[in-house]
Amino acid sequence: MGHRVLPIVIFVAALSGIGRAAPQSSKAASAAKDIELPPLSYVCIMAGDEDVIEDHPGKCRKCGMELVPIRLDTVWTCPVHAAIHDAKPGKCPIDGRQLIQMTMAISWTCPGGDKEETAPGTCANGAPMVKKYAPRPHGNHNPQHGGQFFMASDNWHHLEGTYLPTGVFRMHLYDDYTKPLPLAQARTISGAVVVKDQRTGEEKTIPLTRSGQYLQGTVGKLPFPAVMYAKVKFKPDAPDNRFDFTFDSYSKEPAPGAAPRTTSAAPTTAPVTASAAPAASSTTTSTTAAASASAAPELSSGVDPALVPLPVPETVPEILSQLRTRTDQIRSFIDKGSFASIYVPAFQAKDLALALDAHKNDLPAEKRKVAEPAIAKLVRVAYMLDAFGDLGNKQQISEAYAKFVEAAKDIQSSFPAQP
Amino acid sequence: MMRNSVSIRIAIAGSLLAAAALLSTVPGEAHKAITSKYTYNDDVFPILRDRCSRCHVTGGVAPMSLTTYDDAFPWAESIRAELVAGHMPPWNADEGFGNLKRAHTLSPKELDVVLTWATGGNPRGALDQKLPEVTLKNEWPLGAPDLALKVPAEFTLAADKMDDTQEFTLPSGTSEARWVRAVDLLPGTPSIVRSATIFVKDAAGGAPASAPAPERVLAHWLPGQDPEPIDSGIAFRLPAGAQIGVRIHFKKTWQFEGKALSDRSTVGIYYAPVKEATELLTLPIESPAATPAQGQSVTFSRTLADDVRAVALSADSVPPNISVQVEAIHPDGSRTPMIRLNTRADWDRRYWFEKPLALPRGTKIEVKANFEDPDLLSTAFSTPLTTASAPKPTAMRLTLGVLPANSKPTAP
Repeated sequence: MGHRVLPIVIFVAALSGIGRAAPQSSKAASAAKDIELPPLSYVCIMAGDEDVIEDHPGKCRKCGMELVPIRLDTVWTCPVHAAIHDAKPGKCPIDGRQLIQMTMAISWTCPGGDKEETAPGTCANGAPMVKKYAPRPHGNHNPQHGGQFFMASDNWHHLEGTYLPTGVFRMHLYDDYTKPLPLAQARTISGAVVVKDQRTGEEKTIPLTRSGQYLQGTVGKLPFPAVMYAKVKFKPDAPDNRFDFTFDSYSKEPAPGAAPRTTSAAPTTAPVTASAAPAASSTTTSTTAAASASAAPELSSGVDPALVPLPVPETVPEILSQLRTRTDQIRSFIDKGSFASIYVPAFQAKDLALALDAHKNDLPAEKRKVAEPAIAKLVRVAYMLDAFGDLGNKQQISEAYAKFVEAAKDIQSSFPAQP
Repeated sequence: MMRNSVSIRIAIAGSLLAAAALLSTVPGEAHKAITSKYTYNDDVFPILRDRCSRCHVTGGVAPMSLTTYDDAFPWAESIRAELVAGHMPPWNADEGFGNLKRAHTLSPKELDVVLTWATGGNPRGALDQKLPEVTLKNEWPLGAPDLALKVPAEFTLAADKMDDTQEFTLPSGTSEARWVRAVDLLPGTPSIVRSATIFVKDAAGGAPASAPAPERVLAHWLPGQDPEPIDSGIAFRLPAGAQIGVRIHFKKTWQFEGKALSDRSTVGIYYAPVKEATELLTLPIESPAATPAQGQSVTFSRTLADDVRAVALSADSVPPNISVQVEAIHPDGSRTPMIRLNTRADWDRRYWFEKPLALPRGTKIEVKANFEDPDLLSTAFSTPLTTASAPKPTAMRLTLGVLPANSKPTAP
């Protein structure tokens, strides 16, 4: 579950807006009233229990400690200057790099004091309290060195692979805050990178050697897209984790004033853009355009259409057609190695399948028997793709995708393509 | 089914505005942010109560109750893994291959609600909302049986054992042969009765292996599942004075580690309400004892010597964690998919076909067993890149439940 907060909120809101218009609008009204402050969340401050987060006060589910209120917000920050916080994407005022998305806890403090408040106020000296930002675990799944970023199956280690113009594959290691792993911990990690020989097609395993805080090995100059995978042991006695990388070009350290990064592992920003409107079904175009014009944050163009959520169409043929598009989009993300983005079209496809589920009673009994298990399977496999997308093992993703295609095919064949 | 397009437009416009309003206020912790619009109290609890609580309840056989928020939320990640892997609810047949009577599954909507909740921060709902208490129901789902036979003695699963298997013999005491439509088991101590096989102990035997033999396995019992009464017209034959065998697998969950627990279960037999019926027969499909494994897969088959109608299939002796696909290859070469199983230990059952499959003489029942673990999730999260744990090919047996073509109902 990578960079998903924004798109998911859109999905959720769009879905519930259709399914449950009344309750959603009242929620929206109250949300709008408190627009200054994100809602309170309750977290555990015990080391190791950072993933405990609740929407109400109480005791930590892991250690029993009293939970502490915080406010979490999605902010845009400079890749290397985390002191910069902005509410919308843009360029870092310090070095001109594209801002990246992170989840942070916000609090308010007085200069010199160590007490943090969850709302702004006035200090004893009459000055307004200062807003403070602190990162959260898994708040940042963005590549730090222009490469491809994955999470390990232990949910704690994270890594980023880069392919350098010298023919070197370099692997940066991080913790759950995307902080570089301390040397002592990096020392326990070993791995190898595997590439296919261009002539013989045989796999060649190149052990990675440690160089400071990263591991690297020379794979040589490969034609693009350069495909390789890493086998990593996070502890000497642990099984190998596999991470698949596809590089369209050599990785570049984000440079001052660099153009918007378009490598495959780009974070899924851009929940709603004006470019979504022309793609929307004809019946909804005008309202969608109007709504998105007012709703859309300022975003750079060139967003992959697969990452743009569309409303679920009304008619079965339109839903089927969009389902086909989403199925192809997952394929193209897999081919490009953009595993962290797969969940977006996968969840959209799942929502389309659930919309078809509402139409299944119109089908003859024979077709319904095919459609029903196929829809259930597609929903299940969408979540499987979501889980695998974060882990970055191409073989597992491809196997899950094969199941997804099976289910999508059964769905396509059981519903009428014409009205 | 067409919705009113104007209301749709308004709803979409409204929802996008709502999304915009939420955008700036959403808690944004990537992994556990509360993104689920479904809450435990309102949406998840009714599903868990109706679909899972026969086992996942205090005193049930499952290792955890899911019937209160405090019980369920620590298991959210585990719920996600079990649902996504297709392990729960237990139903090992692949969707979309063959045409089976489906017993115990979640609807797509139910699946989505629980998964959205499990991955979306597990919101509880209103704190002051009181949910109805769910308690263990240990009763006969089909009502009181016609013949209830208690196992002869209490069995104790010792303090130092986590599981054990025990076979009991129960004299039926019947004076005449009867047709049986269903057989069930009522655990004495539900928390340790994990599975059971109930069968007619047959002294006779000796029928030629080429001909279908009477089905002696009356039930593969699993917890939380209703016994499936077979279609009217088909029945198991219970001979006069039959001895009933029941082999029970007792298993403790971690909650009872180090404790001794005793059980005395009861077998329940439901007679068919007819004088005449067609007896369910069986045809075993066996792999040769030393099947040479070609790579990781084994194919074996049985060709039918007579016209039959196939009604059921069970995998009696098949290793766990493999994929088994069964197809009927008709004499004209056409193929009918029958079943594809992802086998799991302790979840064997008899699968009934939605409709009897007419299989003419000369039809080949082909079984393909693939020894690569089909379970993508378990390989992803526990042992990636290793195949050492893959089960070794061994002799396997599946049982096809058949009726001879043109069979006429008879007295038992």
